[in-house]
Amino acid sequence: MIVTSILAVLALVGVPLFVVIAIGAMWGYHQAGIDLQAIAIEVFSVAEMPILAAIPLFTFAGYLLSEGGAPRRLVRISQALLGWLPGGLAIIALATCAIFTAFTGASGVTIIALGALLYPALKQAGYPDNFNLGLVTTSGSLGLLFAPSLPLILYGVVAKVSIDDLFVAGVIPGTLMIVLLSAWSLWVNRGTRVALGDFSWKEAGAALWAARWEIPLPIIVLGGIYSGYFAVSEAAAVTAVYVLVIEMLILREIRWARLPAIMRESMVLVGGILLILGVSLASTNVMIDAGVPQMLFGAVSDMVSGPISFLWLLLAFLLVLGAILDIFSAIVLVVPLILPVAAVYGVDPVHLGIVFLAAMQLGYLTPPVGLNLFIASYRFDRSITTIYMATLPFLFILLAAVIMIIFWPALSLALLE
Amino acid sequence: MASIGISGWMKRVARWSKRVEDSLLVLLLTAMILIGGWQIFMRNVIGVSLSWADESQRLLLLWLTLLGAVAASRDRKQLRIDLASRYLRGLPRHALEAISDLLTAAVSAIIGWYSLLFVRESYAYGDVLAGALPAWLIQSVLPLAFFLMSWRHLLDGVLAIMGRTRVRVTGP
Repeated sequence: MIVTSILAVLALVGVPLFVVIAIGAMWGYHQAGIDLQAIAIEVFSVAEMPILAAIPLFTFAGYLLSEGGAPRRLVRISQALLGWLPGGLAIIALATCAIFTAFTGASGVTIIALGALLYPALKQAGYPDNFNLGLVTTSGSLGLLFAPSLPLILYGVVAKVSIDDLFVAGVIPGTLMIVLLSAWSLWVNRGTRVALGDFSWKEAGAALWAARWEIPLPIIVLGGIYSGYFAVSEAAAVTAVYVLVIEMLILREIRWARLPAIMRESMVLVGGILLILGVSLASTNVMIDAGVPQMLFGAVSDMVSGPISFLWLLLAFLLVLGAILDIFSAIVLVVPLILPVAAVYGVDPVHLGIVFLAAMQLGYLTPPVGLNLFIASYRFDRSITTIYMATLPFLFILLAAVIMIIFWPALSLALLE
Repeated sequence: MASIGISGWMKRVARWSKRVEDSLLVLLLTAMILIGGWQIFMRNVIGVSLSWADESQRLLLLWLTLLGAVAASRDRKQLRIDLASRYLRGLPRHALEAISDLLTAAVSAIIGWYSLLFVRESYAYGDVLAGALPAWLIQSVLPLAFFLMSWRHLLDGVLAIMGRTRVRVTGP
């Protein structure tokens, strides 16, 4: 208990999480009389999970896409196809951000790459400023539940669940979030006079033509994965090769001299995440040997009377967790511990994964450490409080979506049957 | 004079180590993309499955992870709960950063040391990976990366205590 408290304090004062987790693991090994070489062996075992190769490949492809003209073309297509619809631009913002986040892994890239295009466009169309700020900030992490998002892959690895199943399970819950947010956007703007564009076949055609190289990408990747033609790691390799070829050889929007820097930037994120995965493999072993899941189950069973109250407790726990911990660390650290407890209450591991990520998505928007709030504050030059207040209504909508996803497992599981 | 000499020397080492690490990252990621693409081409077009490709991808991933982590340490981009640096200013913030850096340096050094023992044992047993590669050669990235991270955070911690700016290398 004392050790746990010390570790919590260390984490809260900003010691890198891999260090905090490693200290916990080393302390546990020491107590159990196990040689500390075990931690090196666990980190090495990162090389024994073939699926992980997908993570650097997808991350690099996402970074490369966001550097070129892809975000601009994506917005142009959506505007050409939906700009005539009342509230269309708000829906465009939500949908394009979701697609983009699925490919870039919700690392804040979406707000920087797309928010900068969408925010002025929304303003120009006459939407109120607060609404625009909230919408763009929220959109930055929308799409976590769609393939091939990094958190989905990481959950599959950690929980030993089929990643293909997760990709399918996320479709309805992810769409539900977009639909609810769209409906709300239409409702709040029902009185706003928004300039509508006319639908033009010419512009639609031109926009589609401009994006002719990017359009096949989601079709190849998602089609390949969902049809079972590609394994996830193959789809990742195809994506990386394809994006590299179109951005560097065909469209040539990015200078070659810039490529090494993009590669390096994307690997900084990958290194940070997978290092935590490595040390967490060690700390998870320690905690399982020490019977932490059983203790957790004991504590939980004292508090709850059945599956329904367990799910409420889980929701509360995940919201607090998401407010302080980033999604990647939370997955590798917490999932192995709650998985067995959830199983006792009959929660399907695939459903748990979708619930976990959906709830953690709210953490991007909640103080004190919500990443989207800080990125938006920095990007749009507003105070954190302004951004937070603007985001609050969207946060409540997403919370409603998360509650539906938790208590209605069929939303996640129906497509799997 | 002496201090200028030392800091000049350290800057030179930092610059070279950054170049080597960055080039390795680019090289390894490129290899991973090419091998991944080649593997799919061979399997789906030629109908040959490459047995060495899967294992080499996994070993490349290990190196990318650890070198990426070293780069994250250099950029101060290790994942952490970012409360202190966002809400604290001045001395309390610097003090916490110095403590955090020194602790990170110590823990990384310990893991580096035990990784070294792990690699030595693997050398003694003559373990082999991917059919032909000596395992110790692949595994040596573990102690290397943890010692590099340790060194970097030690430097940052000491400089923070001395109230100096960190050794920064910017640009390519």
